[in-house]
Formats: sequence, C-alpha cells, structure tokens
Amino acid sequence: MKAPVMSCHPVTTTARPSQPAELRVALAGQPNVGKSTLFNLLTGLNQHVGNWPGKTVEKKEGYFRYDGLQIQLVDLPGTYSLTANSLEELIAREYIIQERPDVVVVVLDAATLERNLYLVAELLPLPPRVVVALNMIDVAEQEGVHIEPEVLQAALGVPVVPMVATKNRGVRELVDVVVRLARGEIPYEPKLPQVRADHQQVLERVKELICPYVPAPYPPDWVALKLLEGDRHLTELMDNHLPADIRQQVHALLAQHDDALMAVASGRYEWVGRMVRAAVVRPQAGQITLTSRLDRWATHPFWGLIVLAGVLGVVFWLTFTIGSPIQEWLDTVIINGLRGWLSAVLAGAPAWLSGMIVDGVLGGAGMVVTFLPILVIFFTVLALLEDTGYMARAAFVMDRFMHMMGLHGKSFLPLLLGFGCNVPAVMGTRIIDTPRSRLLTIMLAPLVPCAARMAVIAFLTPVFFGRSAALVAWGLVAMSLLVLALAGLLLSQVVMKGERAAFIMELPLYHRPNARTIALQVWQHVQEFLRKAGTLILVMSVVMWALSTLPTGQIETSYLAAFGRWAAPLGALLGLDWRMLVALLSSFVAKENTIATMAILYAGSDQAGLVQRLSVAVTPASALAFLVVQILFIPCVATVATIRQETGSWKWTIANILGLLVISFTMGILVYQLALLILP
Amino acid sequence: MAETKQAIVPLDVVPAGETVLLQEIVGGHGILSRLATLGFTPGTPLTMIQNFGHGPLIVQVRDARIALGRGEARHILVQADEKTAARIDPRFVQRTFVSRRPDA
Repeated sequence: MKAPVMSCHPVTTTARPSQPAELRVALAGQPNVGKSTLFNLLTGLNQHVGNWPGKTVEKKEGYFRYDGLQIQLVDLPGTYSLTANSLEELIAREYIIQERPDVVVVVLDAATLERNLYLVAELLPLPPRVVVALNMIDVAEQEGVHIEPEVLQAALGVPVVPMVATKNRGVRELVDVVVRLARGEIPYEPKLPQVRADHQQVLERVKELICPYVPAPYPPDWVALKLLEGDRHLTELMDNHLPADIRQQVHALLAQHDDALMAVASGRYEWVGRMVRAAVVRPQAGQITLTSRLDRWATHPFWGLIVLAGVLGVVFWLTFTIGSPIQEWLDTVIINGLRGWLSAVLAGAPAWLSGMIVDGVLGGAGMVVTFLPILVIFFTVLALLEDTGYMARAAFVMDRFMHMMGLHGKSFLPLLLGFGCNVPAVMGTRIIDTPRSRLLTIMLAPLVPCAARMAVIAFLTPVFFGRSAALVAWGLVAMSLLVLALAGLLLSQVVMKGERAAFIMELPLYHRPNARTIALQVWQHVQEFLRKAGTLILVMSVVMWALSTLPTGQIETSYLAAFGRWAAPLGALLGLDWRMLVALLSSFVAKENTIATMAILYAGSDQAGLVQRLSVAVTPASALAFLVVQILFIPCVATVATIRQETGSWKWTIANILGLLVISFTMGILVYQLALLILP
Repeated sequence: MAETKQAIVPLDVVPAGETVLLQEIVGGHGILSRLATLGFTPGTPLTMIQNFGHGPLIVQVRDARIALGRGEARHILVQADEKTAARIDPRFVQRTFVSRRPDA
C-alpha cells in the first residue's frame, strides 16, 4: 500500500464515535511537555474527562478521524518513568500492558531531551509500537539546543516527528506516521537499552527463574528488569505467582544485588546519552537563558515572596473587580428576575410547590450559577500559572512554610484560593501530585475563611463589638489560620501518618501559555463542576429548604428549629440559644444565610431592627463564641459537594464535616468559657 | 593548603555555581528510585544553581532543573574537586566522612 498524501486527509473531529475505534492510540509523556496541548488539538471538544476506574486520577479520552479511520486517543497521566513510584505511573503502565494500544505516542520536550528520553527507554521494551513526538523544538532552539530528528530516529530505530504543538506544526505529520506505523508501512526496529554490564548476568538468571510463571500479558523480560529495580507492585505480583522455592531463589538473588536499581537506571541513561550525543548539537554552554534570568527573582528566598505576593495581588484584584460585579449582576438581575417571574407563574399553585421551586430549586441553581464567574477566573489563573511554569516556582518559595504543617509547597496556592471561595480551593488541589498531600490539603481547605464567611464576620463584629470590631475580626482570621496549621500538623503526624512526600520537583522552563489549552481546561473544570457538584448542591439546597420550612411554612416552627431547640443544651455550653444554632445550621446552604436567618428569628426579617435586638439579646461572650463557631463551622453544601467530587469518597467527606463540627464547637466552648472569665 | 584533595560531601553544602559529581545516594528505595529516574545516577555532574544555606535548593542535573528539599539533598553524596572543596566549610567535609555508610 502506498503512503497517502497528507493534505488529502485532514484531521477532523467527529461528533460522537459512530463506530468502535479502529485504531487505539495512547499519549504518554513526562509532565510539562505539552501533552495536553497535543491531546486538545487532536480531539477538540470531542473528548471525555472521567477518572481511571476506582482511582481519583483524571482520565481523558477523545476521538478523531484521519484517513477514514476512527481513532481513539487516551491521554495517559504525565509520568517521569514507569517505575510505579506513584499512582500515575502505575496507571500508565498498566494501561499500556493490559489494554495494548496499537501505538503509544510519547511526547518529549526537546529542550530537556535527555531527561525526557528516559521515559522512552522505559517504553520501548513494552509490546506496543512507539512513536516519538519531539515537541517544542522552537523553545529548544531558543535555549540554544539544536536537534537533528532524522539522526535521532536512526539512533532510536523508531519514528521521530518534530513538532510545535502550540503552533499546530508537525501535528498532521505525527498522525500520519502513527497511522502508517500501525499499518506496518514504516520499519520498526527499536534499539533497546541494556542494563549496566555488571548486572547483566543476574538479570539473565532472574529472567530464567521467573519466565515460566509470569502471568500474561506481562512481558517476562520486562518483569525481570522491574524486579531488579525493586518495583513493589511487580514484586508482589510475582510473589503470588512463583512457587515457594523459586521465590526464595529470586529474593536471595535480589538481596545480593540491592544496588541493581542504580545499575538499571544508569544503563538507561547510558543509552540516553548515546542518543543525545548522536542527535543533539549544543553549541553554547553556560549561556544565560530566559529561565535563568527570571528565576534569579522568582525563586529567591526574599524576592520570590515579593513576586508571589504581586502575582496573588493581581489574582485577587481580578476576582474582585471582574468576578464580584458579574456575580452580583447574575444574582440580582438573572436569579431574582427569574424568581419574580416564577412566583407570578406559580401564583395559582399550592404554596409548598411554589416555595420549593422558587426558594429551594432556584435558590440552589442560583448559587451554582453565581459561583461560575469566580470559578472561571480562578481556573484560568491556575491554568495560566501552571502552563507558563510559574506554579512550580510558587511552590518552591512556599515550601519552607508549608513544610511546617506537613504539607507540600504546592498546597499553598489552593489554600490561598480558599480566601476567595473554598470550592476552587478544593478543585485546585489537583495540581498536587502526591495523593496523600492532596487529600490533606482538601481536608484543610474549609478552614480558610472564605469571602462569604468574612462578609458575615464583617456584618456582625460591629454589631457586637463596636469600635473593637476590626481587632476581633482580625483575631478571628488569625485564629482560624492557627487552627488550620494545628489541624495540618495533627492530621499529617497522627491520622495520615506516613512519610511526608520528599520535596523533589522539576522547575520546567518558562513557556508562553497556550490559549486553547487553557480555555479547554477551564471549560472542562466548569463543566465537571456543573455536572457533579452542581447537581449535588441543587439536591442539598432543596433538602435544606424543606427542613427550614416544613411542616408549617415558617422557619420558627420548622424541623430545623425543632432540631435547634433539641440541641439547645449543647448550645448552652457556648452560650448560644436555639436561634443561633439554627442560624449556624442554615449557613450550611450558603454562609451568607447566617444573617438572613438571624434576621427572621430575632427580628421578624427586619435587618435594621436586627442590629439593635442582637446587641441587646446577646452577651459579648456568647457573641464571640458564635463568631468562632461560625468561622470554623462545617463548609457550605457547594464545598461539601466539591470535596465529595474531588476525593471520590463519602468517607472522607463525612469525616471532614464531623471533624469541623468537633473543632468549631470545641473552640467555641473554649472561647466562651475563657471569655466568661475575662469579659464582664 | 596541603590536604585540599577531592572531597566527598553531601550536596546541600555545595555552593551555588559549583559543579560536582554524584557519588552515591544514601537512602530508602523510594527516594533512590525517584532521584534515579530524574537523572541522579552515579557519576552524573550536578551543578548547583541556587543554595542560600537554608530552604530548598535548585540543581541542574543533565538538562533539567530540579528543586530539592534540604533533607533530600543531604542524602546525595557528591565528589567535589580541589577548587570546589576549598569553597566548602571544612567542618562539613569532615563530618561527611564520619557519617558515611560503613558498607558503602
């Protein structure tokens, strides 16, 4: 068969896979190599984002057509190697071995070719055919690295396609090579890396021993190599398949060669070195690059903090000057407009029905909608910082401080986003690469006082404390951050014990961000929020509406109030009466509800009257306890729904709610009893 | 300065701008494996990009820049040549020899 002329076969995306995929292609690559850009370019909006079965790692798959073929593209998680150091690495290699895609495209960053080729060294011994996509050759040239793709192709024995995904250069050529390789029109003779000479014998011996027992579809050669590397997953697998005597022999051999890991890695890097020496011309050594110049400021222990503060200042400025007005406009014009219109339409319907639709359903939907502007801004900024490479620098300068809480430098940014809103904070934890650090950060995120909680504090502190309001508000924020630090310490030391992830992080070269990649990422995150968290928010707000109106239609006599009265003895410990407890409970739907509920319960919904009545009815000690509980209380439904979505676990979600309940009431009681002693 | 020979020191004491050779990594399998993957193999030249004596540091290894916690860097033993060794506080040079693994 003759090779098709490329221009006749435009890459087109199809609306839906009308037929099963005729070609299955997996996309592999290290982090920060432009893998997502390539994936988005090929599949466009015709992609599906989900999770790998049973895992919280994102799985992206999409479809496109080329030369009459329906091609399925699976984006494997970004990994430095296939050594099962992380969940991502395990997922990537299990997919390649178990699902056997027809072709694996490995995307390399040409500017860091040496490190990137290590992954190629790991992929070549596996069964699927490999195509090397040599991305970002323009950045490499800028950095003074010149690569000859044909020479690299000859040295590797597999096809190499140079490209610049952000400029859509070389992408069609890549797809063409993939299709032709799958059809067997291109020779494929990979030159495999060897183990360092001093360990070749032991490798042969292990291979001989295990060969008859390696379960399909694992390639025995590869399993032997991985055993030598001390791979935990495969050691366990083989322990279950080897007869006892062979198992002992293998373990004895491996114990004698516990330095084999370095021999295997060195062998791969020797192979990489040969490839690089053949294909790379690096004329100017020691030339000062853009990245070095920027990093002199961005990673400096002092100036780095200033740069970070500046970047964050811009982020919050954007949120409040663009996001908040849009949010308000959506709320007053769209949601209230709809509310008025629906009330009129439902005028003849029973009161409970119009109440449920107008207050319950629309209230929940309204909240989901008004979240969107802030989410879009935060996600855009996060994607932008990640895509340019700055995110790693922010994590670097903050690592020292986060370290004290048992957290990773990368936990800083999501937590900081929490001051705006806890929802993007929880979703933002996706940038953290170790599952344990990520979970820990999610658990702590609700302790960051969000804007809505701060609004309640801003309204109530002057009512209760007059001139000292600012001081009290500042104290409350400081206290919640202190509680966050202590909770972090406690969680990381006691509950989620285990070694803190070592701080080893690549600082990628700075790149120009790609608008399409960022836009698609924001779109996917928003879509996912609407689909998963959005529906849960809707359901929960209808339930909360029902509890606060049924059975009589008045909150004073509702189930919620009944519950508040029942819990009154607990409230007495903090000096809170049932009305304050109900106000706290209603803040579960949205933090701003606290004030509206208090207004109804204390003053018959007269907000002006509320100020007077509250200052008379509530003692300073009770007021302080109330504010303490309020700022530390369980997160709102939107945050709960997002925690559920991001952890994929009800267990952790409920643990989070219970934990915060205990923390907030304990602190409340503590503060109340102390205040009784000190305050008049 | 008669005894300024090659010295084996932990990576975290190497001043910025100096290039040293990786001797060995002392540590558990996890950290060994992650570092080896990133190109930290015996004999590899490491160039210190940033090291302020506190906080994490930045090393150039092969063609990538890697940020390392100070604790992680302490697990990496490197060979410093005469000129570099002269720039390192002598206390560190000696302490390292004592703390090296006896079976290494």
